[in-house]
Amino acid sequence: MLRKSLSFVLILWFLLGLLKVGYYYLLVLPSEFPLLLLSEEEKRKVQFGEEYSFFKKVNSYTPENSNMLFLTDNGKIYFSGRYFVYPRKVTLVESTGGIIKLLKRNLYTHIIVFYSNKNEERKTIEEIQRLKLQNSIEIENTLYTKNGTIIKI
Amino acid sequence: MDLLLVLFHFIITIIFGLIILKILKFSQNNQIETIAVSYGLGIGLISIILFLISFLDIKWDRTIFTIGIFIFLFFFKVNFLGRYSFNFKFNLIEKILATLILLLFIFVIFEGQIRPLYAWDGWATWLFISKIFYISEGVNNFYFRYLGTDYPFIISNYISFLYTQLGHINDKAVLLVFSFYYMATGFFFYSAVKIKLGITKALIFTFLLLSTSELIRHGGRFEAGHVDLPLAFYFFVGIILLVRYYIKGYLRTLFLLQFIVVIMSLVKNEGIPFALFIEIMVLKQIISKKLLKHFYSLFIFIIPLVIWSLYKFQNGVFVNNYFNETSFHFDRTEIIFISVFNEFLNIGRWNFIWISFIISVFLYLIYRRSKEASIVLSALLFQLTVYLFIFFLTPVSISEHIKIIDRLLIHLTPLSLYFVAITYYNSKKYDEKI
Repeated sequence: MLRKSLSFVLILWFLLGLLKVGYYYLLVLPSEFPLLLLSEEEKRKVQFGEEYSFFKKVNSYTPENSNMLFLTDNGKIYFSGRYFVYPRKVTLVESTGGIIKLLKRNLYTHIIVFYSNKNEERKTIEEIQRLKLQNSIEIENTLYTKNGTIIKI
Repeated sequence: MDLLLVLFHFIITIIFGLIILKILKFSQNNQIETIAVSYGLGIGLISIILFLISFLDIKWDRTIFTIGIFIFLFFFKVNFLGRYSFNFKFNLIEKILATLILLLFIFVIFEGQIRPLYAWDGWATWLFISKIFYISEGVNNFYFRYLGTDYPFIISNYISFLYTQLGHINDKAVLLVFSFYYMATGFFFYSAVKIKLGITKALIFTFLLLSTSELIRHGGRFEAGHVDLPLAFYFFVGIILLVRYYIKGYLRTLFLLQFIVVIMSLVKNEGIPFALFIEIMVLKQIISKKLLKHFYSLFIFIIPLVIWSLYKFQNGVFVNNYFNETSFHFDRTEIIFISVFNEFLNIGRWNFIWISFIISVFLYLIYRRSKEASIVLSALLFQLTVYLFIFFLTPVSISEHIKIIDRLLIHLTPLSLYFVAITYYNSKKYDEKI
């Protein structure tokens, strides 16, 4: 009885495997062909969205030995960003609340801000500007891009 | 061009593995098996050598590596293509099955190269470590602090080695490493089952394994963890070699087993308990058969692991964070068992592997038990228990644990299907066929 049950399950499994191979070649593969026409950069932009363009800008505008604070509303973006901007070092900051304490350590060269919600991002930048005025922290330069903001301290 | 260079280095890696197998006098009658083991062994040993180079404070350098490769090829006078000719004699059904497997290989390689890495932990950890090592020209303890992880180095070192040889980072071309682990797992599985059950059944079971949602979307390319498929490969090879050692008792098998065991323990931390299980089984055999000469082989496992542990210790990495703050969370029992059970029944992801496995366990309990099936089942149950204990013990939230059940199960997938295959054919009479 058990052996028959196992035979039945293995046959089902084999049929499912056949269906999957058919599915891969008839449906998945043709749907992937448009990707062949894209360059590697374009594929990354498609996969990661505007965050990828932002990190490319961070790499263009900051030296490799930069040490940055990163404000974002998405933890996963922090992890991909940390990879893309390396050897620049990135520290995730959960909210603007803790940022001044960190800035007073004089370890950081930049603040980068990327929010999926651009209204939130604008509010965060305003909050940083307000806090730096209150705490007499100098900001050398602020670069607003359409994807995010890079603040040089 | 990068892809060709990566493929060239795979060939060098396989040749390196083949030479080690030749030195160990590993039976090379089964070419498919030899090639699969050579690939895994080559990657592991190259990575360990790279670690030792860094440990001696010598920078990784492309010119030195390239000169080393050519000297090595010249010194060993490798006649790779001449010696390894493949002669497949398949009947019609076998040809159809082999074509299906080939279609899966082609699909996995195509999908592996069509887009950038998808698996999140690949960016967060594994490829990142490789990037750090490549830029630092060697193993750099900085990653322990920066990434907050103490993952070992085998896969990261090998990918950094490929970057070094390419002269730049190409984090897509190196994903071929995982596609090739997928194929190596298929090759080794086929050859292990073929010895027992013949070509047709071996092809059927290999197809079942490889079509298990492409071994969970080729182990790290899309789903599951990034290096979980390589770990599954080493688990499977390790247990098959352990069984062979139990039945034949050859020292050369034990030497190879020790290399595989040390590699598995340095692929990912989950490999350490499994490696200890194998070592305990080996020790049991050595004591019961009074094979004192074999005891020294254990140092092949112990020495690299101790060096790595000392390196971590020297860099302030301790395991105390996990186990000091914790207690046994009985309250998690219901959610853990329901989640594992649900994962077993997730046919979309796992096909019917876990249902078959559960039926096979009953078959094993009711009918005659082969020594091989007993060893395989003990290994599976041991590792499953370890994972359950991790779920119960560590302070990490249970919702985080549940998310990684798939990647833990993938470690055991080839071994589980192998258990199904040998139990289904009531394999006591096959014990001598090793």
